[in-house]
Formats: sequence, C-alpha cells, structure tokens
Amino acid sequence: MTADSRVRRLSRALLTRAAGAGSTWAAAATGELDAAPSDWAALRWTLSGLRVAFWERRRREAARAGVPRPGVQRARKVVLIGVTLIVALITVNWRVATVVDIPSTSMLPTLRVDDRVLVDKVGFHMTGLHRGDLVVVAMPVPQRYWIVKRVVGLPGDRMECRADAVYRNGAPIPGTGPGALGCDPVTVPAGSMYLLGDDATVSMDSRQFGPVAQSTVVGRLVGRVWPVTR
Amino acid sequence: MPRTPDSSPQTLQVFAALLEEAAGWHYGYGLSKQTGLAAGSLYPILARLVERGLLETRWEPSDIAGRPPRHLYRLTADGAGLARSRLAEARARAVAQDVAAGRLRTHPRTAS
Repeated sequence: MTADSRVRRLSRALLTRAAGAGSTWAAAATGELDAAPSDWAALRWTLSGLRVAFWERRRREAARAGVPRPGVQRARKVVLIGVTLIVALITVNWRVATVVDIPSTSMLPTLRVDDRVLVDKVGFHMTGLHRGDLVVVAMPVPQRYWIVKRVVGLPGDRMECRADAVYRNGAPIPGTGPGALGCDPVTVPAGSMYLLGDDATVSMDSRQFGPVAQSTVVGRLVGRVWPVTR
Repeated sequence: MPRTPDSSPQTLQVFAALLEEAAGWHYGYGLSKQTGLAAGSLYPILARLVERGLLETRWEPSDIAGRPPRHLYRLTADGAGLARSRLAEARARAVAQDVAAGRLRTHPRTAS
C-alpha cells in the first residue's frame, strides 16, 4: 500500500464528498486512489473521478425525478417540434407568406401551370415594388381571382407597345419580344403599376386592362416551392 | 451511439481488457491503465455493462482501516460471449476496410 500523503488524503476527502451518500461508481473510483503509483497519478485520477461523481449524480437525480427513458423523451421532443412547426406554418400562411399554385400558361417560360410558388405578403410593403418583380394581384373583375404577372412599369413610366417589343420610356424592355402586341400608350399613374405576363402572346395583362393599382398586390413571389429543380 | 449496442471503440477496449483474464476479477485502476481510458470514461461503460447483466461486481474491503473498499469486476457468461463476438465483428470489419482500401491483398503475390 502506498504511503498516505496529504495530496492523497485531500483527494480522497474531495472525492468522497463529491460522490455523496449512496454512490456506487464514484465510490469505486475513490477506492482506487491508493492504486495510483504517484501523487501526480492520484491527482489525475481524482480529477477524472470527479467527472464520474457528477455523472452519477445526474443519473440519480434523473431517476429520482422520474424522467422517462431517452427514447420517450426524444419522441416527445419530436412531437413538440412538429406541432410548433404546423402552428407556425398556419400562422405564416395566413399573414406573412403563402404558397400559390400557378393557374395559367401566361407566365411561361418562367412559371409553368401547377408550379407552386412562395409568396411574400408582407415584406414587399417595406421594400416597395420594383420593375421586374413577379407579383400576385387580386383582380376585382369580373370576379375576385388572383393572377401572377411581372411588374414592368412603375408610376411615371410611359408604356407603349411597338412592333418589336413593349417600350418603357422610349426603350424596349428585353424579353418582351414580338407577337400579339397592341396596347394604348399610357403613362403609369401614381400608385399604379403596369403588369405584363412573360408569355406575351397568351397573357391578359395591362395591355388589355391598363395599369393596375398597387394596392391590389397580394404579395411578391420569392421563389418556386415546387418543383424544386428546373 | 453506434447502431449495435456495446460496440463503441471504448467499449471494445474494455471488453479486450476484461477478456485477457475472462474468469478473473479486475480492479478499476488496472482496467483504466489497460484500456487507456480515464475514470470518467471507464466507469459509465462499466455501469452500462453491469446494467445489461454482462458484468458482475463485488467490493473488497481495504487492508488498512479507514480506507474505502475497492470495487472489482468480472465478466458474466453472457458478458464473455458478447465480448468475444463484438471483438470478432470489429476485427472482421477492420480487415474488410483494409482490403477495400487496398492495404491488404486477398491473394498472395506470386514470386516473380
């Protein structure tokens, strides 16, 4: 048996204290102190033994508190997270953002029928609408329905349709190419916007019904939700 | 947590140390030195093995009065069997990895 130095005495006392009553494993570590060949080894063993003591305490407290097995706890966590997500999604869908199905081909090639897009219903109020934004607009006539178009003209822009493209302030808008064009030239009034579908040949937009009030914007498209890749 | 219970590298080291004398009693400090695991890692493993019925324990009172008793551990029959099979699986896995990585040839090279 190794001599009982002060270091060992103190370490033993410390470990015994940390183990507490009713300990098995920390007590086992305490009992091994004498096997350490040097005071330095005894010290290292004590430090590691303290970890055992704390580990054992946590176990005992958990058992006493009736904490269920880790599997049950994890299942509970998953259910809680799932419920929170569902509630958040419902909240979000109502006010902040929503997913919209694309109903027509008027936005080809950008959007196809049955694509699903994420629509920001709130943020665009703060950032304002910009030329090139894709927006969802609620059309009051003939009955209330939503359309998805691109904003190509803002208040003050002079919009006209020429043979080769739709012109804004005398410059052609790229991509609005030739094809069933024909509209009355108009300057976009304050608070309004000029909408154009990406497939100008089939789209019904501001060329037919004129500039539309910006207040009819339901939201701005943020991205495509489905399909995920294209 | 590894998918097979009782197959973490540290547990395997404990198994190997215990199997060196499968029917004998082992001290905690000795196991710690053999496995290279500190008490904080070793005792939770031992506790799990005891709970699974793979290890049995006993206390040995100290020769010197006033000193705490020592805890000893021995593999049960189930424990020894499981320990051997886990170690065999680990060895087989290591060999398979070496073969896959090209470190081991399955066929000996013919003398040139």
